[in-house]
Amino acid sequence: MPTPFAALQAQLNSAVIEHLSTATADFGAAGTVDGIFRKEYAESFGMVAGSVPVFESASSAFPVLSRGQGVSILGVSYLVAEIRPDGTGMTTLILEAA
Amino acid sequence: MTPPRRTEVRNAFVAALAGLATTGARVFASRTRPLEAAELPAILVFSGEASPGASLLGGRIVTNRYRLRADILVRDGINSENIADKVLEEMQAALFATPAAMTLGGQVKTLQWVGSGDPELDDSTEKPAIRVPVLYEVVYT
Repeated sequence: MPTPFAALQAQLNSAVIEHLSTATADFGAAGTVDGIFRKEYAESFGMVAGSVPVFESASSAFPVLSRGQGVSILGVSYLVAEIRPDGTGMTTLILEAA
Repeated sequence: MTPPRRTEVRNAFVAALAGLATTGARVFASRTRPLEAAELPAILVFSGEASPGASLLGGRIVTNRYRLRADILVRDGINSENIADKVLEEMQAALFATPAAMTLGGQVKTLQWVGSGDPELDDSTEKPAIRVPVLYEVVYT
């Protein structure tokens, strides 16, 4: 059964990663993944300044992931705190300081 | 000009908590701007409710009750709650070690520990934090 929208979605995801990637996530022996890295300002309790690093790429590009797994992005070490697949072929990793 | 009594009491409370082994000089009163994660552990002091303590015939208020809230803030980690416990213990030691300490150096008639709240965790950032609110009540004239 033809699924033209699924094909279009996969094509779009590939184009996003190809053109909008900002960093490479290095999972060590598990390999590297290109994707979009953001580190926006955020606060705890409205009283402690910090940031929320997130890395997004195609779900199929990631190695087998687990919470607490180490990853290096732009020379900084992080731990995978949350794995959030969006259900359309992309996955966002919420990272915390290693 | 002499500052208002509440200000004097609050300043004395902050001064009593300054220099603890774990939090050092990181005690901040009525702070509105965020701290950096590197500044934790820290104590944030805020004013709570106030009410008349006792009054004379004729309605003149002679004592005031004033609540002070001291939030212990610690970066999340393996020992974060233990560190918060240590800060609380140091606070109690500093505030109740001697009769002079219990009056904040003569600024208040009594100082009472009302209690501490549930530890709260906030993981909104890459370095999650724990907060333990601690309430005190003073009576001053």
